Amino acid sequence: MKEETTVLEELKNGTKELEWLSKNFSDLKKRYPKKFVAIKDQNVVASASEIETLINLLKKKSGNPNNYLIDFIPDDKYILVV
Amino acid sequence: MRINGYFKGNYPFVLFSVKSDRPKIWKQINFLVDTGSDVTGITTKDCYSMGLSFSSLGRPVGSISGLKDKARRWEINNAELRAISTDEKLVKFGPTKIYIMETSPDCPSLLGRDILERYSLKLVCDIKNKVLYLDY
Repeated sequence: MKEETTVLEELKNGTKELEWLSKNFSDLKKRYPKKFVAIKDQNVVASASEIETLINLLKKKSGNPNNYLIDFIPDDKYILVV
Repeated sequence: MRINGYFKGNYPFVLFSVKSDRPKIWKQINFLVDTGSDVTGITTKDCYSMGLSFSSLGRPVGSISGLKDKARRWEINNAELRAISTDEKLVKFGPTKIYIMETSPDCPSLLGRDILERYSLKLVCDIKNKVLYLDY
């Protein structure tokens, strides 16, 4: 039960971060094209061109990259085919 | 019942919390809904984010094929996917098999047809009007 409450709270917080990312995606594309960004409390707290660099930055900052929403922000020319 | 998704530009995403004992995983992952993908998988970016190195996963079970290159994949046999419903209840799917996929770091984790089919998830995706949800 405790685990369920924890997960639910995490998902509520994660949802807020995603809603913010979704709403601000166009702006983020202008500010962080082709960058990996770390988002916390509806703010970009770090960015880097390489994922490994960003992870190292976050480790120095707080010790745990798992506490951030980490995402790749494409530029306008980016095409993803999976 | 419904799980809401989100658009990043015109990319459709759904948030799940993934739990697994082997390998040890407890992480929220933003999955790109990909009806073209046979399987569901956690990709390189999210592995790095949770400190999971490919070398710690042992021998790959096979590869994944895409447009160009093949890449290694590993199985997670007893993963549980948890999501939040629109009425703020916890929804669980699993235990189920998903994969870890060695992709380029910009490739998002993928929610494939396997999970959509196994749990009878109905995808509603209206890109123009930015409406996305999974009915279950």
